[in-house]
Amino acid sequence: MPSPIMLVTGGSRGIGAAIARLAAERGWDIALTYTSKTDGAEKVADEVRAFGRRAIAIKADMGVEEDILRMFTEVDEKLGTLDCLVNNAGIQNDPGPLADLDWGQLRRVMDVNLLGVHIACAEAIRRMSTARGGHGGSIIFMGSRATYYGGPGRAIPYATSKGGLDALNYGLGKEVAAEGIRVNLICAGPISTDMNNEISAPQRILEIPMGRYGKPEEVAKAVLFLASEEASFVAGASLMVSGAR
Amino acid sequence: MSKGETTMSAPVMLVAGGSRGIGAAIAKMASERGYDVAINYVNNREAAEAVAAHVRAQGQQAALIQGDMAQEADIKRMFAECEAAFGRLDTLVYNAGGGGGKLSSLADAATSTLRRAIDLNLLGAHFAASEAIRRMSTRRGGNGGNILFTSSRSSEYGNPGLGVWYAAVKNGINVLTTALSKEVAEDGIRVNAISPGPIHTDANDPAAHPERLAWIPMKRYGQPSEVAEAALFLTSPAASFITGVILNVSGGR
Repeated sequence: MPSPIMLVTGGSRGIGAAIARLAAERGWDIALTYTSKTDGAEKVADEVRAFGRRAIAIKADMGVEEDILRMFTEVDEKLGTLDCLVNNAGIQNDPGPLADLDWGQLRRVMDVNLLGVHIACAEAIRRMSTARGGHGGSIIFMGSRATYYGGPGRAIPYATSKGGLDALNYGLGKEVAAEGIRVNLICAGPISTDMNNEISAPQRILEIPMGRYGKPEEVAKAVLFLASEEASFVAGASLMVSGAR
Repeated sequence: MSKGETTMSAPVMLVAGGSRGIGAAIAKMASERGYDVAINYVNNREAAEAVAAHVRAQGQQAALIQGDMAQEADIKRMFAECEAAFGRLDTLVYNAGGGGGKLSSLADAATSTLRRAIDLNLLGAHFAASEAIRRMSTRRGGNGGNILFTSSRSSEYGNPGLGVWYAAVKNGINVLTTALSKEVAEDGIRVNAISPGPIHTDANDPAAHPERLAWIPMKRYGQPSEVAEAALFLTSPAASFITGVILNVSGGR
């Protein structure tokens, strides 16, 4: 039996890289995307191959429609029909109050975190839906606990874009539930990555009941659970991975 | 204008998306409560004129401002025109919105529809709020004020099959409301939202979907004026300690 195929957007580092590695260990072939870090992406792809799985690294910007469409075509041609889409790519706005952010920055956050995710989901459903000749599959969003805390003074556009994903998860989860597609969301708390960690923001540790940042691997384990058959009746769910934050 | 008249000038409400439906009802009721009103519209000048006529009939001033709330330049110009017309701004009602095109399943949606919905409902709301804060914030030399967003109960229901993206952007508005209310609480600005259920407007006629009545515990559509009542309460001094609230106006839906 061929390996199932997982597409991880933003897979060259941090949480995305951890998801790709763990998925390979559990028997998935992997397509991962990156925007600038070719070395990082190729390194992760090599790690996937070391588990005996196939891997491709695709340079694609999730805020650009043509890149998203090309990404799916490359997966079709080089790996085969997708079984799981992990919408992991995301960006944060420059820290600061809303009134100090310009249109270009708001535009970019919405394009990558919300519009691009919608386009990618539509493409994935067109391929996976049993109502459209596909074999089913699953979609996972990378949400954030920021939607509950809002990030006032710091990260409002990021939080609102992730809030959009909360409702998209719920609505889309129902929309495609009878088409063999499970849609779920990881609601991540503070995770130690290049974007955000105990060195760049040590004071945030005080906000985390477990007293530490999460590890990318801890998010990856939750993603792999949601992507697996173990979660066969789990759909439209939001799974907090946040150390009780 | 003499100094005395300046201090007596009416509070000013700017309604983005104020020519029809809920926005028109808010603009009209605001004039009945003593506001001068700037009415933004995209295409329907005639409808906006009718709202302005109602405002003037109450003895208040009205300004008509054309502008597409999905465009940065139009939003900037709207604020400049409002300032030129009235010289002050007390309340921004960001009511512009919509599905962005044909409502369908996500896999059948055009990218242009998704982009339009995100830009108009969410990106425009962020940018307009930002422009309003720069003018109203007491920490930036302003006199304080109010921001009111229009959300939707679909943000809780997810809208499967009927435009999941619309629910998504409206949940973005919910997060924006609570987060921004905290961010500007010390700027003298209150931020709230109304979350309407099914409301009888030109765009949403109960006769077109009689089966939807079953979704509404009160078994009827709301009237735009019932939403306007909630909007005028939240932006009034009666709600002086209320901020970050998303008020359902939905007949129990």
